[in-house]
Amino acid sequence: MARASRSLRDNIPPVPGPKDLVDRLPGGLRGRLSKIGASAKRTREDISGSIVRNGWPTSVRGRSLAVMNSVFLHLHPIRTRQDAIKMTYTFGLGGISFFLFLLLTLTGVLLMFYYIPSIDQAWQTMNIIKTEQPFGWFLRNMHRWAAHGMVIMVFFHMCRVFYTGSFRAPRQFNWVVGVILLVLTFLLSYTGYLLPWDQLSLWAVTVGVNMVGSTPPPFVGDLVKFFLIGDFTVGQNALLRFYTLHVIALPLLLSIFLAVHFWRIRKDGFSRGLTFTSRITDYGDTRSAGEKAAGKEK
Amino acid sequence: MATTGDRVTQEANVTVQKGTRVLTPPARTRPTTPAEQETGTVQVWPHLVVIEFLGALIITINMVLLSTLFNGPFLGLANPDKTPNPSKAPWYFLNLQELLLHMNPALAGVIVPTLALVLIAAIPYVDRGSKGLGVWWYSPRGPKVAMFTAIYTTAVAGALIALDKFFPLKSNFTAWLDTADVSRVGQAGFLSFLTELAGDFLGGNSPEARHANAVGVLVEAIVGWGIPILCFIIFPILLVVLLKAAFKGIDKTEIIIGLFTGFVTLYFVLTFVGTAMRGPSMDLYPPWALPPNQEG
Repeated sequence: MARASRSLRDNIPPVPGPKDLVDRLPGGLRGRLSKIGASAKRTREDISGSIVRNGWPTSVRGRSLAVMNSVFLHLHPIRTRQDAIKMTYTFGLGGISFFLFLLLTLTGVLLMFYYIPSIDQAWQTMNIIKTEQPFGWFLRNMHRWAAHGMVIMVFFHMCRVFYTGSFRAPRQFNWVVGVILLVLTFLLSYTGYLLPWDQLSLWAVTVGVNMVGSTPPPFVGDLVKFFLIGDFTVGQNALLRFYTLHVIALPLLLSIFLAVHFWRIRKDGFSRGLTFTSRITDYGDTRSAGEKAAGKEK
Repeated sequence: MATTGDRVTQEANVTVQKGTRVLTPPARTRPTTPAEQETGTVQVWPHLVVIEFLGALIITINMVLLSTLFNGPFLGLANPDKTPNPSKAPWYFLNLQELLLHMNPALAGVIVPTLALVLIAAIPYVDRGSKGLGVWWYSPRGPKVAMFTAIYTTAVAGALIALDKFFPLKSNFTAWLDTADVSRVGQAGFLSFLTELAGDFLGGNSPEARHANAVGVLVEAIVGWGIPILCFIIFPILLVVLLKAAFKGIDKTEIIIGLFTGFVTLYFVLTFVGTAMRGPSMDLYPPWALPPNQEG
């Protein structure tokens, strides 16, 4: 405003804003309004402040707190080796597998609202999901493709971990947990395969069940097969068992092993370069117990 | 460690002014503040969190596109009386179903996969030490070992499948053993001894039935168990011998890289053959001439 301007604009009085209007109110009302305003602001800050424990992080301390104080992020360390987040090292395969698992949980829960695990209704409800429910076809497709994707990504993740030597001490047990997770992923996909109750699922599962039924000796195989499908052929009992395994038992088991898997990554440190964690806890000595006992040099 | 050290020194030459934005691609994953340059570490927020968010976004977009463009398969209502020809397991088990065509079901469906998983889980307890930790391919020889193994495994698996196609072991062995003279049953020889046993354990009222039982047992023992087990022992050993001959001074880790690559290759080859080359009655077809599935 210091500049002297001679344009017409300068002569037009400013349009009154909400604040000007409030200023023109009588004193008592004005005071009451400003109290309400202050109280609303405080409530707003209380609510947002109670959801996240810290404001938007702008400092190093704030960023540390943002990770440390969030239930979803706290599995991460506060700092990580720059090498650890290089894309061409991990290709994010483990993370992609986990994200697909989350997508599968979300779409799976939505599909469960409509699907009925009975041999009289399973195919019909699937058909309704595909043709009548709004976006039912979309949910079903996403569940199907994400399931295939998860199997592929978990397998590739195993290959990545092997070819980068990331199974080495102190991560041996986490590799074993990973193999268990691979098996659970196969089982989850396989149990889900039966649920549409179409010709593809019935016969694919029959082939698989017969394979399991060939466990030697023969009477054990028969027992295992009966235990798995609750009958001599794949029918209502098998559908119910596979459904229960697919929607609760196996996801629960997988989640538990996932928690161990992630926790061990954090505790054992990231494989590429030393992580902040491993700087503190010093995993420098990677000899096995036997080698240490024998006094073998590194 | 050397690379990390180099990069940190290199980064230290860059003057970072106070208030410089940390998130400036492509240097996103590089340390920017003096503290980061000193340790070679970066703040997880935002450096890693941003990558995770973008990754989730890309996967979501891809899955939405895939689900919109392609419908998942959904056939007619399940009918236990109508067996499709061929009936196939889900694709990730078709490797086992392919094995099933060449050996005893107990071996193909249970023993081999269980052993494979146990052996994979045992890798860290066999290949110990910290050398190669966090380095792609362990050594410059690593990729060559893997490539050599991939070619070897593809060739061996292809040859064995072709052998069983053009010279079916089961029918050939049955034909050979069947030529034994039934009238000599009980007189001499291993087959006769088996025939006697078959009479006691496996039933069979007539000499012909006993003979057929004995032939069946013997063929299954040879073709269903003996030959496949021998293959599973001989071909990995041959691989190790070849690797040792091809790569002078190869160490244990590189041999294990070879064996693991052999497993991965076999998994892919058998899955491919099972998926794209097995038609009605599980006969072998070229992938481009695979007949459509016949409804039962």
